[in-house]
Amino acid sequence: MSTALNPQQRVWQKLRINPRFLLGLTVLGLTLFCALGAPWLARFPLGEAELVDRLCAPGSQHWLGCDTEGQDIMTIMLYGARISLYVALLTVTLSLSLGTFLGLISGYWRGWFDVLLMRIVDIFMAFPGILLALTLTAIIGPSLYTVVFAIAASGWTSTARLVRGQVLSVREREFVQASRALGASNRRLIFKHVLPAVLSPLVVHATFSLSSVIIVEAGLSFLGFGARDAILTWGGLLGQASQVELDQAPHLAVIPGLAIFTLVMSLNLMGDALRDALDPRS
Amino acid sequence: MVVYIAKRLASLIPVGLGVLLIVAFMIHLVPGDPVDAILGDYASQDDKNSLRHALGLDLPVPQQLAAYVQDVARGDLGSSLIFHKPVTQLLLERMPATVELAICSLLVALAISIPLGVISAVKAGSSIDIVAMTFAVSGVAIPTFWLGPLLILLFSIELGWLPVSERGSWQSYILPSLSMGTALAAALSRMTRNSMLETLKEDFIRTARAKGCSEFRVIMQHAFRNASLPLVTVIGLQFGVLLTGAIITERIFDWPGLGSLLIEGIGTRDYPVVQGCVLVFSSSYLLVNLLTDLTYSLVDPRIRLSP
Repeated sequence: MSTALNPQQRVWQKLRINPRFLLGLTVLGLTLFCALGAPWLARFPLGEAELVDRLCAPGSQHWLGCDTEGQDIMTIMLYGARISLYVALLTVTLSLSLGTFLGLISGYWRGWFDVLLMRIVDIFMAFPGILLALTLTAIIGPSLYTVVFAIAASGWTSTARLVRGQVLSVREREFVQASRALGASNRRLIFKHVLPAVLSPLVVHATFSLSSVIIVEAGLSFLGFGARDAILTWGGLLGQASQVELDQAPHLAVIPGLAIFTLVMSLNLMGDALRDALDPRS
Repeated sequence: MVVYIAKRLASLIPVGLGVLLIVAFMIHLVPGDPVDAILGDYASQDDKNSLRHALGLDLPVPQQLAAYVQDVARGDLGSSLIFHKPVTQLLLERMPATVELAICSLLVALAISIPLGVISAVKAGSSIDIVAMTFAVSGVAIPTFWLGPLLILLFSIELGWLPVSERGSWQSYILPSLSMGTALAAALSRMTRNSMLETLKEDFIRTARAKGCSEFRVIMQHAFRNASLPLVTVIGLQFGVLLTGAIITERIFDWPGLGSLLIEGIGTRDYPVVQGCVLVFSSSYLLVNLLTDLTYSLVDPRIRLSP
C-alpha cells in the first residue's frame, strides 16, 4: 500500500538518487571525518618539525611531504581542516542569521526600514568579492574571529536580499492572508508561515555560501591575512608555496589546493542538487 | 532613455557616498591609535603629532569624514606614507596594468566560454557537452590562488614555454589572464549553454529553419544573438570578481597593478594608499554595473520602461 509523501520526504527521495548530491555528501563527510578524527588519523604529533625534512617530497615516511618548517603536511592538512570548516561554518551561521533576520523584517514590514536596509546592502555590495574582508582583516589585525567577522560583514548582504525578495512574494500569498484574517499575530505569521516558506532557497544559498567562504578564507590565508592560529589552514599552507621556489616543492602548492578545490566543488554539486530537488517545477 | 539614465545616476549618489564614508572611516577600525600602529612605539611625540595632523586625525570624526569627502571630490586622496607621492598619482601609475589584465582575462573568458557554451547546447547530451559542463562545474571551484601556481609549474617550470612573472612581452599576459579568466569562463559557458538551450526551443528558430536558413546561420545569427542578452548582465556582475581576482593574481605573478599596490599598502600600514585602492576598486565596480544596466536597457527596452 503506497502512502503519500510529505514535502521533506519527496525532496529526500530525489536527493538520495542524485549522483551529484551523493558525491558531494561523500566528500563533505570524508572531510568532516578527517577534521574530527585528526588526533587519531595523523601519523605525527601536531607541531613536530624536523629541519632535515624541510620541503621533503611525498614518500613512505611523510605521505604528503613536509612544509617549509619540516612539519608533516598530512598532519597539518588534517588539523587544518578543523580550522577551515570551523571558520566556514561559523561565518555562514553568522551571516545567514543576520541576513535572514534583517531580510525578514525588511520584506515583511517594508516602509522606511526596507528602503534604508536595501541602500545599506547596495553600499556593502559595492565592495566586490574578497576586498572588504581583506581590508577589514588587514586593518583590524588577522585573527580567527576577525576573519569570521570580516567575511560575514560582506556575506550577510546577499542573504538579506534573497530573504527579502522571497518574503515580499510569500507575504501576499493566500495562506498568509488567510492566517492574518483569522487574527494571527505578526510573530506567528513570520515564524509559522513566512520563514518556513523561505527556507528552501535559504538552504541552497547556505550551501553555496559555505563554498564561497571556504575560498575567501583560503584566499585571505594565502595572502597572509587569514586566521592566525597555532594551526595552519589549507590556504595558509598554500601561502607557504608562494614563499619558496615552486620547483623546489611543487607538492606544497598542489596538495592543499587540491583539497580546497575538491571540497568547494563537492559543496557546489550539493548546492546544484539541492536547488533541483527543492525546485517545485522539477 | 534620458530619464532612465538620470534615475540610475541618481541612485548611485547615496551608494557612492556610503562607500566613501566607509572608506574614510576605515582608519578608525585600527585597534588603538592608528598613528602608533604606523610609526611604532619608539617614534617621537613631534613625529606622531605631525602624522596625526597630516592624516587629519586631530579633527573631530564628523569633520574628518566631511574633509575626506571634499578631498576626494577634488581628486585628492592624500599622500602615501611610504612612497611619498600623491596617492592619486600612484593609482594612475598602477591602474593600466590592472585594467589590461582584466580586459585580457575577459577576452580569454569569452574566447573559451562562447564556443564551449554554444557547442554544448547544440550537441546537448553528447560527450562534448559532458566535457564542457565538467569544465563549467570544476572551473568555478578552482581557486585563482591554486590555478596560478599550477599554471606556472606546468608552462613555466616544466615546459619552459612562458615567463613566470613580471609584465612585459605579450607572452607575460597569458598565464595571469588564464588564471583570472578561467572561473569566469566556466560560469559564462554554463550560462551560454542554458540560454542557448532555451532559445533553441523558440518558435522563431523553427521558422528560421523552415525558411531554409543554414544550420550555422540559425545557431549564430538567430539563436546566439538572442541568447547572448543575459550574458551582458553576467559579464557585468562578474567584472567585480575579476577585479578582486586581480588582487590575488597580481600577487602570484608579481604584476605591478592596483592589487599589488593594495597588498603593499596593507603590509606597510600605508593607510592612504589602502583607502585609495579600495575606493578605486569599489567605484570601478559601481561604474561597470551602471554601464551594464545601461547597455542592457539599450538592447531590451522593457528594462527602462518598467516602473
